[in-house]
Amino acid sequence: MTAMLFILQGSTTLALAPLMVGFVRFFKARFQNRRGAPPWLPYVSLWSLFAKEMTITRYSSWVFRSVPFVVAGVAVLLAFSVPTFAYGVIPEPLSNLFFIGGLFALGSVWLVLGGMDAASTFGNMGSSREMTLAAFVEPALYLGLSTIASAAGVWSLDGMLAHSASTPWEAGVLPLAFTFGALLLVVLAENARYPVDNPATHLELTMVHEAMVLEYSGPYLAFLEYASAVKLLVTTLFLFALVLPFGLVHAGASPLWAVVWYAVRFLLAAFTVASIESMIVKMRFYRMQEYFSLAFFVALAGLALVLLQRGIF
Amino acid sequence: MEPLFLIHLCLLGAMLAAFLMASRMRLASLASLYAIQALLLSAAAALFAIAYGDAAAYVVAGLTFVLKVLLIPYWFVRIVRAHGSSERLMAFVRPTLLSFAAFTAILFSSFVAQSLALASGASYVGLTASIALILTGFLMLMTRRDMIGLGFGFLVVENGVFTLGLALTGGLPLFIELGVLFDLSIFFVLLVAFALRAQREHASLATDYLHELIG
Repeated sequence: MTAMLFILQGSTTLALAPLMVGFVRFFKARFQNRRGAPPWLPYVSLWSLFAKEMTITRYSSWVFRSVPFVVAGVAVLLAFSVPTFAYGVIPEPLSNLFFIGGLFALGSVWLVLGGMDAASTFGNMGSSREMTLAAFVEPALYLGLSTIASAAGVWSLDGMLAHSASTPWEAGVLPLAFTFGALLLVVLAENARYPVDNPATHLELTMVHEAMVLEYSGPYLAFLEYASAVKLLVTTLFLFALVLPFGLVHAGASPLWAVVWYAVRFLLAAFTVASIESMIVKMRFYRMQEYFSLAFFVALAGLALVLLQRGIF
Repeated sequence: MEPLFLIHLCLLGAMLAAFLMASRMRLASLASLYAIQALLLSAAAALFAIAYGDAAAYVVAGLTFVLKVLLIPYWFVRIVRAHGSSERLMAFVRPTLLSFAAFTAILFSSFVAQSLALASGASYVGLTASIALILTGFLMLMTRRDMIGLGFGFLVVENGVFTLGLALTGGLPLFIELGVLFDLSIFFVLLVAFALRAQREHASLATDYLHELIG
């Protein structure tokens, strides 16, 4: 049963990841008074990318060719190791928060190498920016997750969901509110969204993620786009499962409620990302340290609250 | 659900809003954070009124809502926009340092509140929130360079005093609260008059131009 749930959770994530991107774009289009493409368009565009041929510069090395496989492999591993609708199914070492953080770092380091390998100016620029951002993201990410970890007493994301589902809301709401705020900022940055990056343009002033994948085409580009869709889905759905821990699947839960709540969280996550992107503008790159220090201090305040509640001070 | 718990939640939310206000450098976000903070405080006062059947607290909550949530943020933004002042605010130090200082102030006030709560028997959370609001307001008064930021600093300090009254005595007497709200509106009118004068003279709201005596 546990093994089946484990496989079901991972494969649901893998199957629905492009749909999340589609829904974000759909809601964003509605915010801008456009009708917008249907939410399943990313499936079609991934399919057509797979059918296209690739153009690879002859000055690139094996690193360039290995990047899509490493990044997509990391995404598959993330899909299986980050809980999105069930708890108590993922083995503890696999969903340890430092392991997950390491997976994120591995994916972005290989993406950076791929951006630099083709030696285009765009790729190098994007890589430099990505590494700067990665250095800023990590303190806030680890501190935010550690806040929940120290409240729950476990290091695994799976155990954090279980803790969030079993505690009454008034006991957990304060640290969770701070952590949610901090992690939302981190998730936006990690997924190359506003205000850190603009996922829709190819303007050299705004690109971070798009600059690194600019040299890729055809199936390799499909791998990279799919990987970033998986990353968006697991990060947002985990965050929303943490704050809305209803209908999470575990032993003895009703499957109907699980499906309903999964759909609610899915649409809410897409809507939140789309509405944030529609309300704010991109930040200047040199002001990124303000953004991330704010995330860091909000996370730190959450950690302080957890320790206060436990009477350590 | 215990009303005391909800009141504490509102007060801590107001504290978080003050923490965010310390480092915001745009007029619109400062004004909306102030409105959120005032909304949470008036909700706390209303919850207090419901829980303890205090009729005066209803009046205070309603007046706070009208003045601090609706009127002051709205007029602030409107007046600044109508007179073409810059909506980008200025500070002597960088926003990151301001976040850090505000965090330290909150931590410090939680320590101070611990011993104060033991000594006075007042609620720990209420004391923490009020001292943190006052300190954060003072931080804004020390670090901001324009009249808008300074004005919001005063308003945050005033919110802290309001919270302190709520935490220590369950709300100050009605007449004092009415007087404070009246003072607040006078302060606001004076600030606007002064700011408009400065805007006309120096085409800026920065206080740097006010160091020299004219005449």
